[in-house]
Amino acid sequence: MEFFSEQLVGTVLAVIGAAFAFIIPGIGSSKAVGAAGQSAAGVLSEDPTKFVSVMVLEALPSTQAIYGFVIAFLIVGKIVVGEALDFGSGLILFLAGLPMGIVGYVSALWQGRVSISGINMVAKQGGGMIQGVILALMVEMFAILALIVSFQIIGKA
Amino acid sequence: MAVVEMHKLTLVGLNAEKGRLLERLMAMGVVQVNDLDLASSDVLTKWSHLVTKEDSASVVEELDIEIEQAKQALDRLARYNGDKKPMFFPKRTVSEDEFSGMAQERPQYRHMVTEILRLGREQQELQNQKNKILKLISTLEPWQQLDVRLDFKGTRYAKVTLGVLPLIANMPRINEEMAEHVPASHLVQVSSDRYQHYVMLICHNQYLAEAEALLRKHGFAPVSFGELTGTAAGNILRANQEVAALDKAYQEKEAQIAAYSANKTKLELYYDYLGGQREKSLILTNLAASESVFLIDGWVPKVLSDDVERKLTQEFTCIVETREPTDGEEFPVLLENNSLGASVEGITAMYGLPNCREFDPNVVMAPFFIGFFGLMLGDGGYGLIMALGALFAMKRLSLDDNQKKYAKLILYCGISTMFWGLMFGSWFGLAYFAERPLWLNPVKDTNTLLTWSLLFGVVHMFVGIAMRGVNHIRRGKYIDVLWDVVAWYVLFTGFILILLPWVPALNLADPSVYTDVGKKMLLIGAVVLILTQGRASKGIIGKLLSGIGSLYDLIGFLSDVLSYSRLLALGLATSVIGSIVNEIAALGGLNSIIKILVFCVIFIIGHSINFGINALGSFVHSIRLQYIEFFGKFYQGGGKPFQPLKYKTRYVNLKD
Repeated sequence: MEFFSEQLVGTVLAVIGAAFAFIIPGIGSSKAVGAAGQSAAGVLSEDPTKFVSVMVLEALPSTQAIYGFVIAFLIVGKIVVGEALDFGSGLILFLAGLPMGIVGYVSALWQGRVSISGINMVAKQGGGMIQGVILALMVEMFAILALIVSFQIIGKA
Repeated sequence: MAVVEMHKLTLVGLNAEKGRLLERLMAMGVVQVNDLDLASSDVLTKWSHLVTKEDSASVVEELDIEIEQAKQALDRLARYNGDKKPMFFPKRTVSEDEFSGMAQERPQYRHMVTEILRLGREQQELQNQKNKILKLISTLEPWQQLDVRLDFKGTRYAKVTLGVLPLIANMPRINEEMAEHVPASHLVQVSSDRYQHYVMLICHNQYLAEAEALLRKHGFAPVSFGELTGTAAGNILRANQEVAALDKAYQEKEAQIAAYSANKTKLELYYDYLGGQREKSLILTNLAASESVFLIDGWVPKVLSDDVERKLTQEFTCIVETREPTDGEEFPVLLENNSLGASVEGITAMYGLPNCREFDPNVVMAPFFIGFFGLMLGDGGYGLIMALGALFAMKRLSLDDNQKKYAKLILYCGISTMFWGLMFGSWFGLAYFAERPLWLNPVKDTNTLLTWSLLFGVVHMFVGIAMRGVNHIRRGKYIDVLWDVVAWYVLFTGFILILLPWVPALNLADPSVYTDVGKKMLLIGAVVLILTQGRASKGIIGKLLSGIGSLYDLIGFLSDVLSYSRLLALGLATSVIGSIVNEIAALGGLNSIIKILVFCVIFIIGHSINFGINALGSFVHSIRLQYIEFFGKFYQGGGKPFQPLKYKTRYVNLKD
């Protein structure tokens, strides 16, 4: 039962924060890229020459998972093997995972929807890729802000 | 560095010279011909019953067919290039004489194109025949060992039947059953392959029915060769000879087509000539013509108008008149900028071309766009790659004008990124450089960089407001500059001064000095704006209400300024992800060759992804800052692009 000893609470909290920061945006990105991929394949079955355009649009919502990974990595980096984190630092690191986790998830899902619309736009008119990318990247902004906020909170631990 | 001024051009010429004159105009490539609406044209109101528009639809249709054929012939010849197709092939330069000389040579090349296409069709025909024979050979091959003629049906008393049995049929057992139940019969197994057994049944006429019934039980199916006579081997031999003959004929045709590839450059010229003719025919429908004269209504850049007028009146019997556009008249927009301004023309064009009487914002926008891009990407290593890539593209690939502009933009953005990389000490996220920045390390001094980002934003927007003033001055509304520019400066500056104590990393000793001045400025600005911003509205109350409403822009200003925090956010994202890529790559240590290889692979893949995500992001968000925060302050847009009549060539460049 040493695992539950009081000294380890801080470390466990930090690990939960790291897991949260990656798992939640990871789920969001998977859903979004998956749905966009289905649309993209549909477009390609009609016109294989649009591969590059739809591939770029499909890949856009994957960045939230990358940001989540970055935050998780930074939080885990704060844990030193053999040294227990104190409760305060652990709680801060746990909280640091929340902005990235929650905002990243929502941002990925909605960016996925915009990407799908963009893919449909490319299907209808050849040159719509740039516009589609611009529209989709507007949603990305909030994930980037969440990344920075989480990053700043980690700095305080 | 501005919108090019245009002159209105009106030309009346003789129908007899129409074709030649249009060709001359296309060669010059500086005159836009307007689509003349007969019903509402101010020139023709009185005379519209005298003029008609030419219908050239049938000519265009014929040209379309000829162009399509020329394209097919060129595609057919493309395989004699020798080497693989380059991505950007340079256009050949030809003189105008050579180009127009194509008019005489056109029938010759048209004939050549039909010849090439005919040879291609004949080749296809030969190929079809060959395929048929090859198929026959493959059906005959299993019977090759059989030295019985295929059309041999049997003797007076015995019957010979050829057929197939499925692979699962048990041959020894069938033979046993035959021996037992059907006397005077013999089954010969000729051959077997992956699909079935090939057999010959010899049987006395009397027992034929029984033998066939027995075999059918095992899945026997008779095979017939129709008209073929002689043995299978003989037939195969003959078929192979035919194939060889067909191959030879095919090669001959191939050589004939290949011989035409010497004329490929001429055929390309022919193709572009046809494209020009098609363009000309399309334009004809835009011209009004009476029985003997025609009218062109169009635009020509002011600097060239005298030149064009002189050339045309010298060479043709025509009347040309050029004049300044009237005040309300919209003219098409052509932008002329220096290299820096021209590089962002594509970005502005995506938003919409400037209105024809507006200041062209490209030169002013370019430094902001490029600077913000660099700040947001912020890693000198990525900038170096971009700059080198752009330089390579400009030197080695032959790009058209538009592609050149984008290559330049990438070059400038790369240089700007390198500059910020130096300032932030960020090169591929390597820790060594991060400890030695020229200015500050964004990861450590986040607050300082945030303050600076917002300050850059304020400068950007103040320049935008100044542009509004420039447009006012261009329209001669000098006094409005006071209300629409200066008053806003006073208001916003006051607002900023009041907010100063809350700005992070500023540590003012006595903020009250600034806030006092700020309050006064805010008040003066607000009063002036309330009194003036509603001046377009009707009635004193309406004026006041829209004046007060305009103060809402203060909230807009605040959110606009905060929007520039993305400069910091995106810049941080690049360096944080970059340093983590390095950390992951070096996780295993660097003490063996394999570990160093792993490091290199992760380093390259990780930085490629980081570069891809963030370069795209920086580009889009830099665009966004221009479109919403900057253009929103002054830009009207809505210009129509200048589309001069010219040869749109694919293979050749026309030398003037």
